[in-house]
Formats: sequence, C-alpha cells, structure tokens
Amino acid sequence: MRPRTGLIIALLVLVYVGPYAFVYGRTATWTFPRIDERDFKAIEGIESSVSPEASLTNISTVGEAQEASYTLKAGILHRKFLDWIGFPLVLEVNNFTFKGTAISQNKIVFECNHFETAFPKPTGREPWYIYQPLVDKNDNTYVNINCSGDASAINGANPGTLNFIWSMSANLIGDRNEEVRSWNGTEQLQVKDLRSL
Amino acid sequence: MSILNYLVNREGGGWLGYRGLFAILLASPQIGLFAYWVTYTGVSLSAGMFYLTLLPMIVAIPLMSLLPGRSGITPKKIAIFAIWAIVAYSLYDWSRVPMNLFFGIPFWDHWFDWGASILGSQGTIFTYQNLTTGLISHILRGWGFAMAYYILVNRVTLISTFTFAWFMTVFYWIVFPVFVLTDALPPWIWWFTAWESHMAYAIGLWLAPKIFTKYRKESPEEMSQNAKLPAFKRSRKTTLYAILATQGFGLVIGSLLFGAIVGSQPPSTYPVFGYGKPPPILIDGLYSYYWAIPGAIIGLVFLYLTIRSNKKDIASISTSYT
Repeated sequence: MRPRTGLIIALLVLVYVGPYAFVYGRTATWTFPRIDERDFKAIEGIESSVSPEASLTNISTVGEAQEASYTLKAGILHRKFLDWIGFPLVLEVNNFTFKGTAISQNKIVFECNHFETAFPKPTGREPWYIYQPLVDKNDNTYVNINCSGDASAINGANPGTLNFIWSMSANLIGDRNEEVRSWNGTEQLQVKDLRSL
Repeated sequence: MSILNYLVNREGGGWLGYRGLFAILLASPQIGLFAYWVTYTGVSLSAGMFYLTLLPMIVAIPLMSLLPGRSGITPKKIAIFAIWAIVAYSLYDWSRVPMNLFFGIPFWDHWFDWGASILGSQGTIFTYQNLTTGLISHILRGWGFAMAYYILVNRVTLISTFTFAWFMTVFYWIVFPVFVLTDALPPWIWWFTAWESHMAYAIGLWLAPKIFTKYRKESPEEMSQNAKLPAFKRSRKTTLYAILATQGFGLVIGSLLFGAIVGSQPPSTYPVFGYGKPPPILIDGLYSYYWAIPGAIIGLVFLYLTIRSNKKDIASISTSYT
C-alpha cells in the first residue's frame, strides 16, 4: 500500500467516525450533565400542597358506631420543567402516599391514608396542540384524599377548626434521575359539612 | 437523453424497472422510521424496521444476485454504491457539529428515542445503549437514501445531488414539525440546520465517486458501461446557476412551510434551544410567507440563466463536432 493511499484511508476513517466520536463526547460532557442539572432542579422545585379545608361528606353506621367520611385535597406543585433541549415536560410522580391525622381537643377526629400509583402526565404521543395544554394542566396535580373517623368526635352541625398533622411522599422521576421526596406539616383545617348539599 | 428513458428503458434499468425497485428497497430504513413517525410513535421503531426495513432488505439480497447486467446495475455496482454511500451522511453529521457548538442545537436527541423504541428499554431513555442503537438506525437511513440516489441516476452530477438533497430537506421540513412532538414548533435555526446539513449531504453524494474513482481502477466492464453514457458535459457556470435556482425555489417551499406549520400550531411560551417559541422571524413584523417572493425571484432568474447557459453548452458541443 502506498503511503498516500494509507493517508487517504486514515482520513476517510476519521471523516466517518468523527461526528459520532463528537456525539459520545458531547453526551458525556454536555447532554447527561445538562439533563442531570435540569432533573435535580425540577425535583428540588417541587412543592407540596394540602388544602386548608376538608369536607364532611357522609356519616354512616358501622355496627354500633358511626363513621364519618371526609375528603380533602392534597397535591404536588410545579411539575412542569424544561428538559435538556428546552422542551417542556411534566415530572413523573409515582408511589404517592399521604397520611394525616386531624385532632381536636386531644382527640383524633379522623385519619387519612392514601396511595396513588402514578400521577397523570402526557404520554408524549400526542400532537403539540394536545400536548401543550396537558403539560399546563398537569403542572399542579391534586388528588382527593379520603379520610374517616369516629363521628362522635365531631361537634355535630359545626365541626369547626381542627389541627391537622400530615405527611406525604412521592417518587419523582425526571429524564434520567429519580428521587423520593417527602414533606410534612401541621396546619389548621377548616371542616365544612357538605352532607346537606 | 429523454426523461422517458429514466422511467422505462428496454434493458430494465429505468425508474419503473430495477432502478426504482432497488431505490425503494434500499431506502427502506427511512420507510421503517416513517411508520413510527406518522403513528406518533404508536408503531414501535423495532416493528417499523422489522417489517419495513429488514424484510425489504432480505428481498433485495437475492434480487441483487439475479439482476441482469444489461439493466446497468450489477451486484458489483451495488457494492461500489454501498461504499460511496457512507460519505454523504458523514458530511451531513459533520455539518451539524458547529450548529451544536455555536447554537446549542443537538442532532442526536432523537437517537435516544429511536434506540429506546427499537430496544424496548424500560426506564430512562438516556443511556449509551439507546444512543448507540439510535445512531446505527440513523446511519442506516442516511446510507439507504444515498444508495437510492446512486441507483436512480445514470451519472452523478452536482445538479442531481442537490435536487435529491432538496427532496430530502422538504421531506424533513414537513415530517418533523407535523409528526414529531419535540419539533412541532421549530425555531428558524432548526430550518436552517436542516437545509445546510442536507446540502452538505448533496456535496457528499457528489464527492464520494470522485474520491473512490481516483483511488480505484475501473474494470473493463465498468469502462464499457460508462462509455455508453452520452458524452455531454455541462459547464461549471450552468451547474452553478442550476444549483442557485434550486436554492431559490427551495427558499419558496421553506418559507411557505415555515408559515403554514408554525401558523397552524398554537403558540407556546416555552423556549426551545434558547430561541423562544414561536420562532423568531428574520425581520421583525415580516411574515414568513413574504420570504417566498425573493425566493421565487432568485429561482426564476437563475433558472433563466441556467437555460441560457445550457443552450450555450449544447451549441459549443455541436460546434466542436462540426
């Protein structure tokens, strides 16, 4: 083989593999770090929300006792984030658990225990005009939490304000990273009787 | 040579004969991806490429060995095309490297999606396995299109490579914004990148036979086949005018598609590639459709110049024969 032919072959090989070596290099030094940065920023930016109101929806007889049913809203906020190319995504939320206890005058009024396998999100198989509204819609996602307690613990027609201690956790999944985050808090909960509505 | 000779010829080498058949069979990697796109990824890329790429390729293999040499395409020619076809997509990808470095536009973002769809991977799509698989499918498509070009033409010319690249550009400009979610509202730099990379592809298509012919002696068969081709040689001026005419008409198509596609989508507030959506227009307040006007003028002027220059080329050949 003449030296010039060898040089041409070497040059051609370089031409062929060059862009792909670039892609792997950029993926390691730019794409993945950029994805990680945006994932963690999105995960850290998530906030929890518990509504300051609960609704008394029903009182039913269970054996010799009466059970009161309540609902309240809890949610995960600011799921929307921009991925590494600036495309809007919704952070995946899986295994959402919520626990809460409402207390009044040192007595438990009701308890909540809720599990949600996955929060809704766009599939990515929608055309843009459907996708974009879904991203906005799923930015803040609330779920109805069902709670129950001994009906004798509430004060008849005006259940009033309760002290509510809650905790929630969820597995948050970005493009490449996931993290289980948990929140807890105590707040004053206003209970409204919706049975007559 | 009449255009009809391209469609049908007695030896079976026309576009409605072996050339057309092989061009379709070897461009099948793109057909597999097309099924994945038009169904909004409802058909997995593995299914698309199994039915619409692997099977056509398997059909192509025995057909290649059965090809009659008089059609102008021989198994040996197909093998030569296969080597030539590597150059075009390499230049295509090289031309995208500066667009990433200077404007932050990645050209491998879809490779992760394609790889994940082919492999059926679970969890994050951002892995090197998916990237590699997507990369190979990308190469197959670029290679397949180049094969289709070499099979379709009797002679590789700059005008035909640019025409072919324009076909690819327009296909790209339509399919991505309409069927690919992340490219639904592409900024103008995206349109520019699609154009410049396909033009680099055209140069690659033209350059490959030049490089390889220089370093490889033609067999007597190939020499006799090439001798059958008309001796007409287009002047550089005609070629340049024709290429500029295609650029003008391409700008018309691009401007119309830009306006139609961007205008038909709901506006978005999300910045993509840092350029904002909807895409910034070149001159504030100037509707993209208006860009079709200078495009049409450029196209028509250079088309006129091409025809005039071509007539001169033909006249000079007749003079030299007499």
